Amino acid sequence: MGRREYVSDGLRLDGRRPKELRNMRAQIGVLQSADGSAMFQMGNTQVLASVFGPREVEQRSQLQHDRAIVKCEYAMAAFSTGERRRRGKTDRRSTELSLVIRNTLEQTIQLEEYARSQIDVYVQVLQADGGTRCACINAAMLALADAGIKLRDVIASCAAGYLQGTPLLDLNHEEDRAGGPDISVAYQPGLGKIVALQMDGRLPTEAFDECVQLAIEGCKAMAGVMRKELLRHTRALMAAGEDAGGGGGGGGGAALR
Amino acid sequence: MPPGADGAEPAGAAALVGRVAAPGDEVLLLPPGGRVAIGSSGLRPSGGAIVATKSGVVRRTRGGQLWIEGRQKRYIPAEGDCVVGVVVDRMSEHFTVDIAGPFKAVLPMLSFENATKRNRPAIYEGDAVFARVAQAHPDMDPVLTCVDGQGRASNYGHLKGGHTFECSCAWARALLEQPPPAVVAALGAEVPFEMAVGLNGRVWIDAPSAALAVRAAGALRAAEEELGPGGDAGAFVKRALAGGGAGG
Amino acid sequence: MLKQKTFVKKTKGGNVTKARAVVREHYLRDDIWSGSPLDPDCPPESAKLAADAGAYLVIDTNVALHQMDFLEHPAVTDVVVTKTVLEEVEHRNRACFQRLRALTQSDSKRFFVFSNEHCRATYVEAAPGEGPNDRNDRAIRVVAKWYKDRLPGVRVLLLTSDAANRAAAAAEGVEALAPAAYAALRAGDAPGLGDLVARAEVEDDELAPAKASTSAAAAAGGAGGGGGGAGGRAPKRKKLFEQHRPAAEIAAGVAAGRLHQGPLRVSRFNPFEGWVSSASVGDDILISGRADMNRALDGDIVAVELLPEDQWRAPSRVLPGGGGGGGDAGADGGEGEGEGEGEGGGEGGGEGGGAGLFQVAPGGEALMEDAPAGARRPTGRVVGVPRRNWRARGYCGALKPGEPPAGGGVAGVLFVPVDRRFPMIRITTRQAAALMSQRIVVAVDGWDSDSAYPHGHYVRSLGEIGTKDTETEVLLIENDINTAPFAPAVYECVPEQPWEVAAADLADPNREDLRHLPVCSVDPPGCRDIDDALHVRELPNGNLEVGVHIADVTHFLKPGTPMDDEAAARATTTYLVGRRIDMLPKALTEDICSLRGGVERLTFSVLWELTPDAEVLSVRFTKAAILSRAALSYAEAQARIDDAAQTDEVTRGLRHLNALAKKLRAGRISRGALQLASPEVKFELGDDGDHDPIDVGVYQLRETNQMVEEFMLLANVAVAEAIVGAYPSCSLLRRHQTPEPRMFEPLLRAAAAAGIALDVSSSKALAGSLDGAVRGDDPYFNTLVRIMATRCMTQATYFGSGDVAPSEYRHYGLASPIYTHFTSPIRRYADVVVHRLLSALLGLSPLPASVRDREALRGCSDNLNVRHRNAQMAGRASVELHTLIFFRGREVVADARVTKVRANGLIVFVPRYGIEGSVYLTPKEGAGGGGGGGAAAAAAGGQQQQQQQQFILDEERQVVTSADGRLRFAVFDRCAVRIAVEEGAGQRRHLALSLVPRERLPASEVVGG
Repeated sequence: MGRREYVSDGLRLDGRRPKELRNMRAQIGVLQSADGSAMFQMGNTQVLASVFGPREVEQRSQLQHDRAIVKCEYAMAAFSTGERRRRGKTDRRSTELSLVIRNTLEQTIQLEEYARSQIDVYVQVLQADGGTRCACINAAMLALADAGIKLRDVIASCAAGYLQGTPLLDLNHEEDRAGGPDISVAYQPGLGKIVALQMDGRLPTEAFDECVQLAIEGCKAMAGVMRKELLRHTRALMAAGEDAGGGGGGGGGAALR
Repeated sequence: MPPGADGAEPAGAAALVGRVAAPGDEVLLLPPGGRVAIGSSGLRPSGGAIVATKSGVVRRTRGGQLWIEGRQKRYIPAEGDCVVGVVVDRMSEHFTVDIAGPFKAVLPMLSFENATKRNRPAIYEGDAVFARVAQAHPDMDPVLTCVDGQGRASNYGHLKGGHTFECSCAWARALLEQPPPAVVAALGAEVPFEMAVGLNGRVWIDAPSAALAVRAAGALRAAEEELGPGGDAGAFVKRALAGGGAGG
Repeated sequence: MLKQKTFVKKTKGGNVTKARAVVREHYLRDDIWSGSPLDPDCPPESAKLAADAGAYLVIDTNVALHQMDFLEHPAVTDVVVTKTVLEEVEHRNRACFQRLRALTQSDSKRFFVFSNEHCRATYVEAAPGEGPNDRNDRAIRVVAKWYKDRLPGVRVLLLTSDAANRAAAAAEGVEALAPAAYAALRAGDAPGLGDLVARAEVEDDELAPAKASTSAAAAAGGAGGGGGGAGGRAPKRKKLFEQHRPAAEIAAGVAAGRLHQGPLRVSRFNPFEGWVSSASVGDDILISGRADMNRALDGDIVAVELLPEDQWRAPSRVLPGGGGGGGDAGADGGEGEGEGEGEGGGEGGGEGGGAGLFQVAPGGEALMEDAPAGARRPTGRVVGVPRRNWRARGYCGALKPGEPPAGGGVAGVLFVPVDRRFPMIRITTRQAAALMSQRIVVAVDGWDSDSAYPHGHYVRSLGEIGTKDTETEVLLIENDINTAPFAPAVYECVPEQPWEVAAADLADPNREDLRHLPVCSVDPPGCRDIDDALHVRELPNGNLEVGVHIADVTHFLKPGTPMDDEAAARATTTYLVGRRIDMLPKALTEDICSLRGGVERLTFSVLWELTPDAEVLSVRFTKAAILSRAALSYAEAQARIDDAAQTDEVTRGLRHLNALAKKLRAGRISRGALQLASPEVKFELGDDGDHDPIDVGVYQLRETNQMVEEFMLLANVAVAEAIVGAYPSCSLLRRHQTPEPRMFEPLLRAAAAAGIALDVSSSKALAGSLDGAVRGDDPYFNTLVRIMATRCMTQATYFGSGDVAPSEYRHYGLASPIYTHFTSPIRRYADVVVHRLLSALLGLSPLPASVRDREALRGCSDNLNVRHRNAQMAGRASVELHTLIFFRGREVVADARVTKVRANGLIVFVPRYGIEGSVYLTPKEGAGGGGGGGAAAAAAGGQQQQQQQQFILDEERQVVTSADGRLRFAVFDRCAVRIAVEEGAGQRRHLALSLVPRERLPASEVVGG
């Protein structure tokens, strides 16, 4: 059997062109009980993130007196993939992903503003169709912003792959499964910095540059969508607040009747 | 990323005030000389610009300080805020009070009207208190007090009986506005009640019966989400109270 | 640019295995263009269709699958291939897909791929209750309609063989035609088009719609008798074959272990006997007889059901009827099988006539026939063909003679393929009379269950039967060798000529200037593509520096260029007698890369320091520039070495090299390298226009051959070690697997019968015992044993080092733990890959992507193996062809040796001409029509009437004796055969061997005294 064509006549298997992202959707503030929460969708990949904190450090020994600690928990719903499977939170993949997400977020949270506290980030993959790593970072990012935690910049994450000599943006599961190299980039568009970069597989240097550049372009586009949603959400919140009670003001008092 | 809330706007201090910003957005390009004052909330200098660190509306105080007014759920204590706290521990010198912030607050035994070493307030774990934030320093647990500047209670202190519920900080702030939202007046028309609103998103409410208190709390809480700005507050309250009554 | 806003997202749900739903995104776009310059929206660069085309043809899947030859006709242009069709073709037939892809890439054919599935305007969702086929048909009609509406100025034609589809199209206002009708339409400007239209296969289901309920039971009952498929159920047309079972049933049966699935390997001598290897049975399953074969062709993936054990059969032990081991020596024997319709059970053996000639095979392939005969083997019958593997390039052959060609009109005729593995094919043509004397290519279209033969269509004619050019063309096609001229894009990659080493090349710090060294090359006479040269030089410390200089082909052949793609696809140069089909364009092959004498050339060199005792002290690799002092032939080099009067630098070097080579060789042999023999023959071609062979002889090996070979081996091993050291998982190596003990069985049996015990436990033991296998009175005996040993070996193969455990890298025949090919990059692509690896290792170039990707390397090595084998087979077939031409009009009596004995005949080897063939002791049954059938026996029976004589085969002693004991043949026996070209039935010629008394052997022909 010959090899499958991943790009034929300029179109990928799902009808995208090589440098196109999937449809994206972000929803902020989806959970009542969390300090911040967000749902992020890239095509059929869907991730829910919730943020609690800053709050008191659970284990005193981990307390940092000059900055906050970030904890991250990654979980994949049993129904998130084609095959129903219960996944532990402690398997290698989860541990690794939690670490990646945590490290990435730590790059942008103003940790020094929250000394002695802890920020918990819970990321739950509801549906996996490739690019979960990036969707997780994006969802967590929005949840952090929703929680009002001070951030240096928005981080957006996007992956690019390289199949049959073509750099492809934002691989879906089918393309991911082809086993080609795959680069996930997390990027701060305001600061113009790459905060995380991970590559699976081997790639020639020239193609590597090309793929990273493509992934950055993807990140910028994602950040645009994320920012728009953040602004929309904030505006809606402010509007609700203002309609209910007029202009905000400093200070406060007690009303007793 | 282009500065400005919706992309096309030129950067400028005046232009951005009152606009919504997201983290990383440049709020102000620093002028070559002069002074810019920023508050502690939500802005930081980065390179040649002032950049937002959280999403919210850019505001400027009367003193000219720029700050970001956000809408966040978690309460971050600030000096002078009135809060409703719950006592979680009674120590020899102070109470430990949960004020729904990042840290537990300290409420010294002596910060009550007429309290002395001998005469300690009869407050125990689980009791609600209405207090003012006396000190809020990032490096220390916040300190509360139940007296005003003159050492008098002036409504602070133990909140006896009643019912405490949580809401968003924004709603709590709204409840404190003058005049208060229509729902408060509408509720007052139906049920006689007493209410203490903490900026930390906690509201204590007391009514003639416990059942009424719970129903009134439900109505107030529901009003945040369900009662639109132009809605009929009276009808809403009636409906809410009736629904609550059927349950209780 | 990101355009996600223009998409409409749809999710496509489908049931995959284990009945779980898979949801995939499917984007519909607005930016899919029609590919026509008449469409104002279509960007000009993507306009592939012509503005002035007579009509735009929209084809459906069946047309693409079955009418490929029609589509490939130059007159068929401006075709819209919908994505629906492309995907379905890819799914159903890979070979067909590749041809379709080639069409879509061709500029002149103007086949435009329209991504209708992703175009918002043409996307079609399956209606409830609509099957996938109906949905796809509708999707294609929607496309045709879309084109029609969008381009009112052009005639849009839907081509489909399906009448219902045409009717539906007409109802929707789309003009639809069957391919045949379209061909008729074009009869004026493209008269040949009609013959290329394939007749649609009549589906089994359509043929027997009412019988479905009873068919399973009836089939099971009818099949019991082996040939009972005929059954007599069909009212009008007899059903000759059992219906194939539905795919789902086969899949379930295979999963449950009731059925066995695998590729069918048909016997080279009989199209109705074959084998299916099955892991589940642990043995090969024998399929014997036309009915049990049930319309499967060689290479098809078949599903087999085992017969009850009491019906197991043994493979035929007698010499197969009509010979022709592949290649041109046309097989006759159509007679017997032709009329065997419905009788079933017609085992091909013994039918037909004519002795076979099959060239000496290096091993492996003869095994099947060598399996212990007599023993009954697991026998099965084909119940379904999950995947057809009909050759897309078609089958070469000729029309069956005698068939009355109808006067001018369309006639159905039978076509006989040259390859005996395939049955005759029924074709319909208007030009039957004209084609009667031609070699033609025919493609198979289908095989109905009521037909004794598959049906196909004429593709093209190769020329007059029997001419050298035609028959050469046949053997090239049969071995799938690409003889097409290189595309202009390939020629663009060739440096301009005249080419010479540029100053820039010499200035390259990575290229050593070795032009001062006394380099020379030694090759066969007349060799134009010289890819290796040697030098030796005495070092001040008394040691010797030896250099092997290989043409630096990769300096010119860059990865990813059209030339590289072409070379990778061809994989090897094919050498035929008097003709070479190059892997690289001639300019590179014969000039720019060729290390000709007296010119400066670029090389990739291996340099050793050796002690005078040929002990390797160090080795290094470098790119270099050399100046060859002389390009010698083996004979010239030998003459220089032998001529003590010559003392020039080159000659002294040759003597040094020769001495070193002998020592190296001795060392290698002591490590267990095998010295095998293969009888290569050499033709002397006439100078006249035909270049027909005027003499034939066994290729003479000289010391210098071995000398060059020795240093090439040394270089190959050194390079192999180096690249594996640097790239343990992505090196291209060559290995030769240790033969399994059972493969030695025929050799051991023959040797034991001759009183020789061979030890095959290791290559060293085998080498030793081969040395010991001598008979005092018979100097040729040893060579014969070695030839037979060669045939027990497997083929050496290329492989990616990541795919095989390092312990399996071993090259058995060379007794080397590791081996690769480095020394012939002009004619082997494997060497090109190895050059690139070595160059990457030295840091001179990046590691090409094609080796980094394990999948790609595996694909590459698989292709190399197939192409290498095909090239060898073609070469051998070419030798056969020339042998045949040589013997045309000649009759020779030659010395021959018996290599196998069979119940009805012998297989003999004629050393002088390198021919192996069968000789019949008994006349063949049903020989009446064979013409040549009786000849062999008749000739042998010159001494007495032995037509009725029975022969008794003694397997143990490898002796066949006549019933009266007067004739006795044992393996290795000497005999004499008369070789003559025999006019078989019709136009098929083949060599016939027949026994003659040894006294008639002229002394000049006696081999090995």
